[in-house]
Amino acid sequence: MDEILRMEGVSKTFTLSKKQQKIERTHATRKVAVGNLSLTAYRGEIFGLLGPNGAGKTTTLRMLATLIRPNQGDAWVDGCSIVSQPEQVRSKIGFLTSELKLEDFFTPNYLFNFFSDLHGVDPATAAKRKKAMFERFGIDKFAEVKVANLSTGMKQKVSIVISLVHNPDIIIFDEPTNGLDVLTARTVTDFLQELKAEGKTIILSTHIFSLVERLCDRVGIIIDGKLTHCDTLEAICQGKNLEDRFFEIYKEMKGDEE
Amino acid sequence: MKNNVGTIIRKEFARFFGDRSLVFTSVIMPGLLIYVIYSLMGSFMGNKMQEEIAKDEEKQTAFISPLTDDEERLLDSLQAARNTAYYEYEASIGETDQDELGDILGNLIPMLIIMLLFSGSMAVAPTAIAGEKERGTIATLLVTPMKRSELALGKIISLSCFALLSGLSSFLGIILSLPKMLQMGAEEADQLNMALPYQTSDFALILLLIISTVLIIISAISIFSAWAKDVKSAGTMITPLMLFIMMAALTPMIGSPSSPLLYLIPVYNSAQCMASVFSFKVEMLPLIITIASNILYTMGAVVALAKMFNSEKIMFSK
Repeated sequence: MDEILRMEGVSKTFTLSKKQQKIERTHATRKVAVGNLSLTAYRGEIFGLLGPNGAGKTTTLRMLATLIRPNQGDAWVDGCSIVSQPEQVRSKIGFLTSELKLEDFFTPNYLFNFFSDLHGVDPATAAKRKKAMFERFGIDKFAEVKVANLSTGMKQKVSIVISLVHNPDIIIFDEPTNGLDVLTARTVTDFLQELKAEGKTIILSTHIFSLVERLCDRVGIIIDGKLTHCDTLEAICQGKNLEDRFFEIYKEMKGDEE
Repeated sequence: MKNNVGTIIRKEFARFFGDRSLVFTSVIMPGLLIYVIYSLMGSFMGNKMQEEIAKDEEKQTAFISPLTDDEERLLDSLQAARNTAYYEYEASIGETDQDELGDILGNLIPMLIIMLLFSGSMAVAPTAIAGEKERGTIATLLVTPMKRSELALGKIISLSCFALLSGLSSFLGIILSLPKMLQMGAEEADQLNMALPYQTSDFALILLLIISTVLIIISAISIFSAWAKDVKSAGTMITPLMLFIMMAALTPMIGSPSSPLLYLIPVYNSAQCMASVFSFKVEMLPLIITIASNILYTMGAVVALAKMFNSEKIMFSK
């Protein structure tokens, strides 16, 4: 299999403010969000990251998107280091997370052109891609409506399209169906399968077990910042359904600690 | 690099000029408000003065008997002698009416220009940087392959243009309301314009100084805004900067710097150089030091802002 993404011994520690210490009910001044994480993703697969809230999934994805830097270790996206070549990495990935917002003032049409420019996509290619993507998601019906006036589902569709303006080979989606109605969520999951069929690699973080079972070729389970399991869905499930297996693993991990 | 800077500038322009309320509050309203308030103040003070004069005249006619021809001639000759003595004194100390006018304008106008540029900058910069951080839209820009320095430069250039527009609006408001403020008619206003003895080169120097000053003010406000979590805290953090700028803008009233090195102090240098242009005492060395240092500081601010955009602690702290 052709390796496209590799993380080696990646760690990320955050300093906790007094407010965060209160919320987390701890006196520790530092928190290990991700500890010594190593994983590999292969071209054309959907890799699912599964874990409870605060396990380190989003931190891992944010490091891959070069929004934050690891304290230790490195990762290579299509051969480019997230530590020493962040701009090249950003040109190779499409990143979507709920913390990335679109400017309310602009229309989907304007935003697509703007982000195409920033990604250096030539205008003719951008126009073709815009037409195809807008038709695929039905954005052409509200292409000239300001983002402020769009529903959550419409905004999510626009965000997905914007994250893929440059037709990246690696797509990193953090909870892409969060807060969406069933119809929009279905559009998104169908689209992920289409991307996989096109040979794209997708790294997907989600809480939804059924989504992982339906879409993912391999799964990584993160608990307390550590990648406890990383294998094919079949190997992890061991004949059980994913949800039951996940809770077994979770109990094993927490039991070990206690 | 140029392309991405241009893309950011185009987007900021589209955002600014596409928002009618933003254009109104930051460009049209300052000038309009100044014009209306100064005009009203002028007419109010004018009416008061006319009432006072009328009262005085009434008193004079009531208690003082009219002067005889001899008395009037004597009064005129005394007045003429007084004027001659005054002009001879001015000539002896080498000061002309033009110098006097220059000194007055040199004390007042730099302060006015700098304060207008600062208020213009405050109207646009915190929203464009701290506001984007607060709304989460800056993170969307940070995941593109664009360099952080391109984002910083694009922001500073576009915001400087908006601040200049806002400052220009206030300046026009002052200029247009000046005749009403001074209770002048159209003819007198024309005479005032004619009497201003500045050349095109003086205005070009002032323009250069204004541009370099707005760059440095926008850079400083941008850095504070990037540091702040939201627009509200940006406003609080900028208060000490505002005090410094106000003090620096007032310094031409106190005196000129004793050493050329003092022209390395931002804003203070601009205020002093503008004062020297208005009072016809321009020296090239301070002017060069001022403009060059302001541009250097702006370049330094672009680097600092780029580093801040790259810092996860600053950009994503909650």
